[in-house]
Amino acid sequence: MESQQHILLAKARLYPRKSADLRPANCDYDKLAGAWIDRRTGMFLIELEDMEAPQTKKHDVETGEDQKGH
Amino acid sequence: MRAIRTIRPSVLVLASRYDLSCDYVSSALSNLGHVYFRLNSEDLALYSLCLDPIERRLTCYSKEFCIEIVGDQLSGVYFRRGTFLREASQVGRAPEEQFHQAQWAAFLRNLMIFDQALWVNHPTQTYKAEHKMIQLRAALDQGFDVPSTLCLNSEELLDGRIDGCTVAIKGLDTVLVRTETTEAFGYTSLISRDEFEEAELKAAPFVAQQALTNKLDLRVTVVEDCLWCASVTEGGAGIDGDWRLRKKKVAFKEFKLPDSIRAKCIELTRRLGLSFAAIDLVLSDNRYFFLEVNPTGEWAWLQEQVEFPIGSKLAALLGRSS
Repeated sequence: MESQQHILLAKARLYPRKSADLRPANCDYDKLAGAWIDRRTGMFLIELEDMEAPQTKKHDVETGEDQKGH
Repeated sequence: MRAIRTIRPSVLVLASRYDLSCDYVSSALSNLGHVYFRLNSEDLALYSLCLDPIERRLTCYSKEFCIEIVGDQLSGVYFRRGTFLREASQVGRAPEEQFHQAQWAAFLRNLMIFDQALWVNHPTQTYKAEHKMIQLRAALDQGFDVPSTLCLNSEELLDGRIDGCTVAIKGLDTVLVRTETTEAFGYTSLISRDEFEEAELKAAPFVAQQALTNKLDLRVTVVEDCLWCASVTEGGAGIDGDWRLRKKKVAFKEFKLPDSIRAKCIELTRRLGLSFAAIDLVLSDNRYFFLEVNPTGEWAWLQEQVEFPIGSKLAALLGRSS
């Protein structure tokens, strides 16, 4: 007989694991600037007015802070 | 051997490449004219690194540059790494990868030899402050209202100790379980008393808390003596249950806290030995309840959506004595 799941696991939201590329589009990581730099303008990604939020931004308010220990 | 450029930073950022909050800090550090270096977990093996505890010095060579971090010249360390190595992260990983991760995590923790610098936050304080029961007790001691809370593994022990026909439950630690193809994440759930009777509870502890109704969620971000507060609403109203489940529909707006609550948030952060804290409060029945504090909490979305200048304040704090 299959054992019953603990209530926290039973209530947890299940979703497919994402293996998407986390790199922001049209950007390169600059080790000395310590930030993602936009290829077109040479500016910090986060300073662009039309910044396209990469996937991690979604995690920012979801599981992101809970995964800091990983 | 070709001469390469040597840089002696006064601020060290320990993070991940994909942690965009740190891009805001890097940008602000650059604008303030501070010399800084961001050491990401993904980049560690790309460098030749040497940590000398006697000289209190970290040297980091690449083909293009040499970073030399000297203990008494380091003003601040922004520590965005974990203090736990959770087993869930090991699922599906090759033995070599598990080994590398554990050893590099220890390497980063050993950077605590730079104890003359201000750490935001220091790993030892982060470690302690991440524990929910410790947070609640500290908040109560600070004078906050806290919801009735128990950590237990039996429904019978709830009787008469938490009011209401529903109870909020959540993990004592992050509930995140991975398989090769799926991920399960536990949000706060509202559970009826009847549901409890049918549920399996014994196998692991959980947090049971008084369910606060007609509530307004508030996210408070503290950086030393500065504080920003945002309300979380949907259609102008508060949200029942865990607002993160409705994150695509919610709005964040600056919220003015009473001075007494502001002071308690700042003092609680100090009491926990932190310089930065993300605090979750709830306004219910004209009372401000403390729910949680996260010493490595996220804030980039608040900088973008409510224009709180959190990155600039962190940068100023980290570079203060340089």
